[in-house]
Parts: sequence; C-alpha cells; structure tokens
Amino acid sequence: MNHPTREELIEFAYDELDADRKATVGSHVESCAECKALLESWQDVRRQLQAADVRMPNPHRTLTGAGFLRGVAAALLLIGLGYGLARMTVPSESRLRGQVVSELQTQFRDELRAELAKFTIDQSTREQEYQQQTARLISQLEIRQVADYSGLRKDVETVAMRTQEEFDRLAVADSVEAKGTQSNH
Amino acid sequence: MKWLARVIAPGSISDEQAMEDVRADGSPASFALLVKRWELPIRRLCLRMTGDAHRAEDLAQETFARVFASRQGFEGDRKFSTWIWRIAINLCLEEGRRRRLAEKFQLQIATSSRDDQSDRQLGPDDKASASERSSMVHTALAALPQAQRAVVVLREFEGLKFREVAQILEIPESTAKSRMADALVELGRLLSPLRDETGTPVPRNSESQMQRIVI
Repeated sequence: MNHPTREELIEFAYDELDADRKATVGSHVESCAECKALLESWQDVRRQLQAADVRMPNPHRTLTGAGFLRGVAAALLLIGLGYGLARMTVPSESRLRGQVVSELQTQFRDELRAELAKFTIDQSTREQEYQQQTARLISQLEIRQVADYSGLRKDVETVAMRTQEEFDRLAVADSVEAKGTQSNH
Repeated sequence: MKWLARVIAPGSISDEQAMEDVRADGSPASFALLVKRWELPIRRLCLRMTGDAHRAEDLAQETFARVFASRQGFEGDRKFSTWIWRIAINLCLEEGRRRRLAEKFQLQIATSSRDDQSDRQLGPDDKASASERSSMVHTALAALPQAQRAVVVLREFEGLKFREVAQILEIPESTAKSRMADALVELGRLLSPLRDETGTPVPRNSESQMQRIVI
C-alpha cells in the first residue's frame, strides 16, 4: 500500500480524519516502520509541548480586573477612539471606564498645556537673550569705534605736530643758510 | 428590552449577538460581556505566542481595543471567535516581526563579542530537569518561524481544527497542515540533541540558540 501523504498523517496525528481514512492510515502506520517512526517522533514532540505549556494565573483572581479594562481604555485612546468608551453608561464598569478616559484626557491636556507653556517661555527667553546679545554686540562695536576714532585722531594729531615741527626746523635751517650766504658775500 | 435580557441572563446570548450589539450602537454591556468571556483565552493565546506575560497583557488589551475600534468591520454571519483570534494573532505576529528585527540587529552586534563559555551543551549523560526541559521547549518554540508558531499555538494549544486555523490565518487548509508538520519536525530536531542528524547538539543557552538562527 502507498504511504499516506504528510497532510493525511498530520490529520491522523490530530485525529481529524473521518472514520474510513482513519482506519486506512491506522493500519498502514502499524505495518510501516517509516511512517510509524515519523508519527512517534511527532507524538513525542507533542507530549513535550503539552508538558511545557504556559500556566495561566488563577482566572478568578485576574478575570476582567479593573487594571485590564483600564489597559483596554488606554489602548483605545492610543488608536484615537477613547470617545466611544467615554460614552458608555453601564453601572460600575463603565463608570470606571469613563473615569479613566476622562482622567487620561485631563492628564493629556494638562501635559500638553504645560509643554506648550514651556515652549512659549523658552521661546520668549530665547528672544530676550538674543536681543540682549545683540545690544551687547552693538555697544561693544560702538566702544570700539570710538576707540578707533580717538586712536586715529591721535595719530593724525601726531602726524600734524611732527609735520609742523619739521616745517619749523626747515624754516630755521633756511634762515641760517640765508644768513650764512649773506655773511660770505 | 434587549438590554434587559443581557443583564438578567448574560449567558443566554451568543458572542455573535453581543458583537452585533456592539457594532450597532457601541453597547457597553455587550462589550463588557465579550471582554469577560474572552479576556483569559486571548491573554493565553498572546502568552503562548510571545512567551512573555507583560507583552501578552499589552497585546490582549490592544486586541480588545481593536475589536471595539473596528466593530463596524464585524460581519454578523461570521464566527466571532474566528474574528477575535485573527485580530489577536495578527497583533502578535506584527509585534513578533518588529521584535525579531530588533533582536537580529542586536545579535549581529553582539556576535562579535560572543562568549563561547556560555555555550554549554547537552551531553548524552546530561539529564535535564523538568523546568530545564520546559525552558528548552520554550526556546525551541521561540526559534520557530512565526507562521509555524501561530499554527502550533492554535492547533496544539488552543485545540482548534485545521479548518479553523486556516480561516484565522487566512491560508489554505493544506498550508496549515504542512506548517504543522514542518513545525513538529523542526521542534523534534531542536529538542533531540542526540538524534540530531547534523550532529550539532542543541545549545541550552537561549542566546546562542538565537545566534544559530541568525547565522
């Protein structure tokens, strides 16, 4: 007899075959070492999986805890549909939801406002600082200019004085020379 | 008077009826009922998919948020269970993809400074304790491709038929079956160091396990 397909074998392992095919595959597996080994290795893995499966905490303690619903509400807010939950009007649970939603909204609004205020303050402080810096620069520039001008003036004065002195000296020299020429004649 | 029936005998209405109410007018009573009925199964599914209680909790909450947010997309003639399983498993797969990407990136960096001492291996005489064995199983499950893991979780742990598994994952039934077979073979390989054909024993350390996969 032909081997069952892999699909059939997996269906056999999970007992999903109808009675006829189950009997056919079953009798084949009994007589075919290859298929039997494969099936057994699968059953072995399945046993290990079952033994290692997660243990859930006690359902009565955790079932529909307020924390879980709060998480659902928060997740809804994140995808922008808090409005739907806030509308809900069933006794305790929905009051809680409404509370949570409005609390979160208030918190969010406050945080946003605080952030905006901080931003505005930051902005105006920065502007002030900028203005102060500019003013400081301008005054420094002015001082520098005055210093430059006065320096320049001093230099010009010095040059002027030196020139005057030179003229004077030349004039004296000229007159001495003139006298000398006169006396030689 | 529909709501009266919900309050008096909540057990008498089906998930589909409850979801239909949620879809029609956002009925909080019906939504609360669905959360009550499905919270634990969904959390368990997310835990089996992620192997991490905190991530499972977040994903379960997000699942219910998605159920509510996309309530208009629920078709009354479909099974509610298939719909919510699909939402949950897709969220898990999405999160898993992001995580694997991040892990791969981190491991590539870490591989250069790999510490071979951490590579303790299971020898023939090594008898793993029950908890060690269990953590080996979890490591092996985590090492499976996500698509295979989803089938294992739904068929092996949730006990759904292959037909339902295929519907939830939106794949052909034959694909679901062959993924299950692939997963069992791969898990068998990862969990039986002695019978490993390649001769490489399965490292006990989960980090080096991941490195093997990345490399």
